[in-house]
Amino acid sequence: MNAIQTVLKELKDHLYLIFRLSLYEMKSQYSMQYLGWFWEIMTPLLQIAVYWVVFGFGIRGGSPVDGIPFVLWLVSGLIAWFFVGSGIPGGTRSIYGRVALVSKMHFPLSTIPAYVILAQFYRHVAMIFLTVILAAAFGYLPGWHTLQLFYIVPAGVIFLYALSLLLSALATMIRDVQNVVTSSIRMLMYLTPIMWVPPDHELFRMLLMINPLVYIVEGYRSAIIGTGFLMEHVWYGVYFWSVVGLILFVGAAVHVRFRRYFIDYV
Amino acid sequence: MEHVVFENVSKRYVLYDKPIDKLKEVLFGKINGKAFYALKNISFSVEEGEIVGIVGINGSGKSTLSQLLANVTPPTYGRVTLRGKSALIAISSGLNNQLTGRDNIELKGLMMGLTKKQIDVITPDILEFADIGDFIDQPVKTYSSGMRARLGFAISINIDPDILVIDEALSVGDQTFTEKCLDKMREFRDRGKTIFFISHSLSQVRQFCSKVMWLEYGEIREFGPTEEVMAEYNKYLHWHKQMPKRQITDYVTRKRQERGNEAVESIRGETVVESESDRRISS
Repeated sequence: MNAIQTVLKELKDHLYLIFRLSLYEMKSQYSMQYLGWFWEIMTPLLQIAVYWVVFGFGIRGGSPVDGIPFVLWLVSGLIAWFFVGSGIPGGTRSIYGRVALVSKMHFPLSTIPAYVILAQFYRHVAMIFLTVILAAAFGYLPGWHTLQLFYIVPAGVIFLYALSLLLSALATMIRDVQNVVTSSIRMLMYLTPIMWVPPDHELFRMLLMINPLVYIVEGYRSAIIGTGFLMEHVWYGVYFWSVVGLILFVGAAVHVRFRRYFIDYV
Repeated sequence: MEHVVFENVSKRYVLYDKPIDKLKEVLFGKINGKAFYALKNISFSVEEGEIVGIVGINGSGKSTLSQLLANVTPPTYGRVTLRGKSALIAISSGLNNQLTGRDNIELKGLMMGLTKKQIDVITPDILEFADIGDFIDQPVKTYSSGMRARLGFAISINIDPDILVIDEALSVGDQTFTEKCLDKMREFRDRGKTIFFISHSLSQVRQFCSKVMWLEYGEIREFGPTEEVMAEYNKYLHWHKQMPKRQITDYVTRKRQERGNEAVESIRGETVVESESDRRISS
């Protein structure tokens, strides 16, 4: 528990630093490109288009999911994946990828995953906004259920930070972790019902829900479309937060225990 | 008052035969490899207002010492006490290549714990000191190595640390810049700050250090007034040059072997940072 307190205090003491560094993180990402923001929009749009064609028309023949147009169902889950799922490899890389920058000074290393995640978060907020508009265009107007965003978005951020804290510490000491994460994420993308609808089989759905990302993806759909998933799955919520708590506990312990050696390991 | 105190400090690295041994150490804490002491049983203390030159041939532990002084890495054994904030200036001074010089000033200032306001105050001084003209608004990757050193030095010195560690950073600057830096460092010393100056330029060390520490194979060979130590060090360099090759090889081999021997075990390594306003301990 002490380790969690240490990490949380560090984050709290360096909020402004995290904010500024996240802006510089974005800036240095785009400094090489002429059309930085254009690609931010273009890459996900192209991905959505491909999934829509392949899964929506190719496999489902254009049929809706429980009455929800497939493209809306796809996009509302996919944006959660773009942020949390794709954020995991980035979070894993966060510390050892930036150690050159901090190796000449004493620096609170637990803030690195935080500002790397925050740098991705701005884009994510824009995407949520666009998706809410898309939903409205399909007739799913914002309502009380939209307020669930204020629950599920922070849940995704906290999950991503906890996991990044653990994985970045491991990857700094054992670089192979990065490869494991990259391959796992590729599999997880298909093991999470983002592009396909799980069949109505009780045991199969239970097994699928072991993956906490399912909670986040379905939570986003619940908030944007109003599927009611979050309200109907309170116990799954308890499971989700237990997993997050466990990851944070182990992650903070590993981070605090080994960070004094990070510089030596790089 | 003493600004920096080292008590029986050792820094050990482990040389692994196979990468898997390193993994085992992380997982089980069992050391499986050859120990190598970058620094071994180092004890010294330095008063405020001193400029300490650190000399020694390649691989004698100078850069490891600079990292301990800057609290970048913790010692394996012993206690390092630093009274005040320390800053390390090295050739690769931790600038972000993608960002402009101006952005780097803010970035580095923030990372060193300054507020936005403090950074705004020192920015003009940094610009003036670095003197790189319009390049300040260009990405750092377009800089020459001299320009990089100028900017790195200007930032670090204006952040106003209590302990300044300069690791070879002046060797890439031209004569005028070196002079400027040396002047600034003298001013620093007169304000009661402590400077550690690592250099292979013996004339610079002689010209401007009040004390010199001579490291050899991870241990302090001599530490004292500049003239005395430099005379000894010069003799050593000559001796090294004159000795027949085989004898040198024997000497080096013996010293290297000694370096793998265990250091005197003292307390588990820790770095204590003290300041007047608050006393915080970081292990």
